[in-house]
Amino acid sequence: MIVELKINFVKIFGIGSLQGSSGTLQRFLSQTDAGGGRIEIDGQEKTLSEAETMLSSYLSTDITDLVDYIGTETYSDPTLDDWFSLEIVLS
Amino acid sequence: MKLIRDGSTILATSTQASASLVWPVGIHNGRLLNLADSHLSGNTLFVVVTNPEDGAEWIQDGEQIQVACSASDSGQFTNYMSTHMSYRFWDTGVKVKENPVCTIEFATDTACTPYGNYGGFTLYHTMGFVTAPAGGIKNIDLRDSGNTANAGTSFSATRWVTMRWNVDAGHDMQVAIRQGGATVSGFSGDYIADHTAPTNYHYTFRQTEFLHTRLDGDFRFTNGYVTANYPGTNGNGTYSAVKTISTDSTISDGDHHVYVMVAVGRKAAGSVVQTVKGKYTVWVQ
Repeated sequence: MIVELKINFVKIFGIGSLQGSSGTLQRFLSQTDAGGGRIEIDGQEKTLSEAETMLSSYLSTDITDLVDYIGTETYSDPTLDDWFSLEIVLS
Repeated sequence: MKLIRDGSTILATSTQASASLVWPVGIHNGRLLNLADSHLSGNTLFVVVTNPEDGAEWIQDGEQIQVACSASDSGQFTNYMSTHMSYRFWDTGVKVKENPVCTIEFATDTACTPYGNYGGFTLYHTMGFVTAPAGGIKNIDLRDSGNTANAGTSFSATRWVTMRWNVDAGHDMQVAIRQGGATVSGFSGDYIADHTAPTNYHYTFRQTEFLHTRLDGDFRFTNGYVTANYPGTNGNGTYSAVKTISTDSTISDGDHHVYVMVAVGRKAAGSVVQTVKGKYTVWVQ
């Protein structure tokens, strides 16, 4: 299962070692809720609650070492935020 | 050329290579291709179309290429690069091991028509690069090892940008940059069109990919990005956006050629044919 997260550059905080806490899947998923991010599972867009239901057995897993940074998205329009994307392969 | 390390400075012993470096270093010879000038000579594959009514029609119109795409059957959705409804390839003649910088530009004045058929009828319009054996253009089948494979027996890598047209009532569009057998997903926010008079549907997209030979001899697509200029909220066309991909894509053979590909597909079935027209320019150097 491939989980792709789009997270706001500015509004992300509190993941993993940044605050000395574990980087659980739950923690990563929750960051998409700050600033209008996005969750896709196997290419299908999901809401946070849908994703939490689908991935319930992984929510408390520390996925820090499974997270790949896969890209960014930036705009000249000052009304739009900047983003980065992460990919997590769960097996 | 023999290199001698002298303190912190590396000196070249051949005279022609020992000058001071300036940036840019010099002219990097390469290929410039206008795809319309090549008369649509690439290969065409219909991999999803299962009925005679649907498919894609490719037309050369001056310096532009127009592609019309229809999908009336619910089974004809595009989920992967390999399940686009129709795609074509052009051979650049440049080898992977030449470490080329590959750029393809698509510029349009009209975006995607007809407007108003948004949502489920969105057109997927994809451009990018595929590496495959020299002379292998007729054999390229992006599905030969399954939809989710990053490489197959007839090709060794792909890197692509999907433009998703007419995503909403404002006729906006979105962009994704992907590799291999990834799903067609990971789209940007809206690249906004000006759909009220005076309208502005003028978009320019430029995808650049870096091919790199590592010290251990592996060949890779490394970082890539797509820059776009779009009308934006004020319709002035001064807005820009950049989307990057940092995932490496392994290429199995440095002798493989870099091919350009353009494809169309549909997000979902709809009775209205969607058409996208513009000029494609390719630099591989």
